[in-house]
Amino acid sequence: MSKRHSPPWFCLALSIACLASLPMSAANDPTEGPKPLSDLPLDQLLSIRADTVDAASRRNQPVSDAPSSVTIVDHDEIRKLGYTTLADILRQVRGFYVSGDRNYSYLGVRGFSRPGDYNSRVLFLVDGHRINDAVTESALIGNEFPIDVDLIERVEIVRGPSSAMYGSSALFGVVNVVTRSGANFNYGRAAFDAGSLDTYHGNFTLGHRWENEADLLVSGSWLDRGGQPGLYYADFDKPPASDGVARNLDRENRQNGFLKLGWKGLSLEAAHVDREKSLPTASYRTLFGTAGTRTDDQTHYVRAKLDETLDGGLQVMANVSYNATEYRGSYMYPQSVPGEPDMFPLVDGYRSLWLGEELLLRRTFAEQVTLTAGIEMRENLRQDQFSIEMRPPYGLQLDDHRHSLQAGPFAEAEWQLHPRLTLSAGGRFDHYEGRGSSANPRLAAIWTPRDATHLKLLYGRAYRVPNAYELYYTDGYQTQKPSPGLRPERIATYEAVWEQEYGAHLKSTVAGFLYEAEDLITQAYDNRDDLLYYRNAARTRAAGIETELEARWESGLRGRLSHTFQQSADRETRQTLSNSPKHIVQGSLIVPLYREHLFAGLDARYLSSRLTGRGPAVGGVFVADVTLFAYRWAKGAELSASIYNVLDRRYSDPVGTELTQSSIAQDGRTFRLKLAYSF
Amino acid sequence: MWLPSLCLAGGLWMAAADPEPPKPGVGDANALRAPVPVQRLKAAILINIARFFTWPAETLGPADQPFRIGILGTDPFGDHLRQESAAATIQGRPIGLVRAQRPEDLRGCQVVFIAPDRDLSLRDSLAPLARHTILVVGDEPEFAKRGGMVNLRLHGDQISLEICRGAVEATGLGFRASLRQVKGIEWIAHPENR
Repeated sequence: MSKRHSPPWFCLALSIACLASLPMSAANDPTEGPKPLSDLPLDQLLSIRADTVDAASRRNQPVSDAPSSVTIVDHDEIRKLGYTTLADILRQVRGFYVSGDRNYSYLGVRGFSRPGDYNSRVLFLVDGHRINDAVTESALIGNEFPIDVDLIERVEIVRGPSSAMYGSSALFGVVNVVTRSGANFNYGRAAFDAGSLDTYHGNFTLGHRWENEADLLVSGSWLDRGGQPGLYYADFDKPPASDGVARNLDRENRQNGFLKLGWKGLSLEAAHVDREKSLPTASYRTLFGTAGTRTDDQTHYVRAKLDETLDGGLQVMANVSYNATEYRGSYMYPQSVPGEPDMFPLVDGYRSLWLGEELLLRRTFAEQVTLTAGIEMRENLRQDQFSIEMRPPYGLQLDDHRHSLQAGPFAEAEWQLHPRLTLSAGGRFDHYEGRGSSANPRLAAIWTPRDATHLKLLYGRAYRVPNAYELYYTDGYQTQKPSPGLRPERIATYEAVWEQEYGAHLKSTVAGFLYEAEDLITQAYDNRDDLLYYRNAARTRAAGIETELEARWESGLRGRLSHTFQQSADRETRQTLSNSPKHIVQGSLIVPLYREHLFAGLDARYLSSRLTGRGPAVGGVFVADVTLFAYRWAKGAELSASIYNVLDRRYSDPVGTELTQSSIAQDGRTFRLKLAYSF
Repeated sequence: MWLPSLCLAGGLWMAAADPEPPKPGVGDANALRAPVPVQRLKAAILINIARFFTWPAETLGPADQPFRIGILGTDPFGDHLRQESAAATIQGRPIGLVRAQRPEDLRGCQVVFIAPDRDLSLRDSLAPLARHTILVVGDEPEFAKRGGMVNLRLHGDQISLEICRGAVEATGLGFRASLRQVKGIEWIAHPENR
């Protein structure tokens, strides 16, 4: 499926050439040259956003002080680079990559992207609130993500294990999506976009902050996507029964709602998303080329939060939340019963309801030691799974009802040993009802030998308990059986990070990492009974090095360029893991074409070849997207035009063993036109 | 078929309308500005805020003497303060930077930034400066309530200011009335006795 691709050195050289030209471009623009920030009016200076991260230590701190390697993608980049989903944002982050199977998007981190993993090894937060559900422990990052991309203020990506602060799921990192607030709007904004594949999307937001600091944001979005009219799969090209083409089976639609209320230290947040997708790939051995196989995913939550600093400097943060995630899949199977239709649906799904409670206290002692302590509790009210054959006698293949409690006290101390040396040590003890306990530490040393140089040595352990889906799901032993004997998987990581600033505009990062995982839970296929199941894989190891160069000028000129080289393999067989590219090259560039009115955005990525679970490897691929973004031509109006996969590369992503195909082709060139009006 | 029409209409509408210059501080005005390093932002605010204050003429020294900003302790600004101050002026004078580990060595400065990384406690850092007409700025918790004058606080991903009016006026410093109009400043009447 893959055309010849550009080798990594070509991409790297091209990107370096682009970035190298940045200072010259800036200097050539006499009207937009760098000016001291101090010349701006004070009220404008106080509204500029600083490079900070909340998710690394559950507090707001400068990125350079965080005990992790951190990347921030902000609203400015999201708009000017034409990102449409969280998956679009994450695929451009150093060391991350995203695969798709025409239903969900799967996040790979530093070489790890296991088949059958629905993003359960990365913790996803919205404004610090956990999104991973209570049945699959996963979060969906495509159009199923609860927050419309227009409402994202910034995305914080914290690499490495964070179980010491967040418990299970934070194995490879934490992704915190920080939403916009009413203060970002005068009164509101309406946006509409249309694009290839019959795609239409709209968002309407009302937002305002009043003098008394009351802040309100209400937003609703919808998306309708016709999808590819025809998708060819050679595995199903078996004339005369089938020509291998799935016609008009790629449709998708989604509705979102979001509410955010704030007043001083109090806030209330609620989100809802409902997304339905038709499946053209005949996954789980369903009938190929037939309408009716589809999935429906819903996520809702309501959270109330208090964040106050008391006299004496004690910070108190408490929140309580109600969360629900529901999944329902309808899968069409053939049958040959006289007098009955020649196909029947099998409907399966899960319902996950949980209450979350959290209390966190923080105080700085003797101006040198900052202590954070807290407890997080999660009461899983429902962890239900079901599977029903919708044909006589309509038997329940699975009717699994569970509930559980999990609790985790945690603490972290940051100790400034020397003006240029900070040590950070933290740990968390988690107890899972019925699944045991786990204690996980994180240690960090942050040394600033010179003003613009930051060195970080990081060590952490993390774990993930097998989720209810992996343990108990079966569709009546048609394609999958339960795996009740699974053990928790564990990972230990060692990382060294060198961050170097060059003046006010350039910053480089070099990070070396070693991940050692034990009992990694992996989807497998049992030849004896022809069924899918989950098993604890042997020990695996990933080692690699990342380099990144970032550049930013006041004129709006900015760019990133990164290269990740990693090797991930089974430690006993030494076999490279599937869907694990050795080289990842990513770059983005935003160029102001006409003052503050017109910008060009380019983002590109290269993934080297990846093994599939059971078929031939997919070749390396270079994909580039371009966006033109026009702003402030008229009061409150913005217009953007994007072309995705502008070179029209044909490429495929490795997929899980629930599909007959070993890889699934991705979209070629598509476009989008977007118009927004703020009022 | 309606899509090209929509593009054309949108383009014509925009071309016909008057371009509107950005309005600082209103709604989405800074949405297009990329986030900047925290220390760069603090360095810029340190210089900018000093322009709102007035010093008795005799404390500024001869006309050819620079306006002096002192850093007590380890300079947290890296290269940012040097770059921000290189072409800037305060009170019509160029800016000179002084770094010291003892507050006594900064008595000739007009502004002193008390860095979090220093040898002395906050009380011991402030005491030697108290009898001089110096604007004392810091960025640690409750700085303005504990005897400092201006606190640069990181609030979310923005900087907000906390100013102790009593501490400022006790030193003989004046400030422009326009400072009271700036949003994002919390005014404290007097320091707390702790």
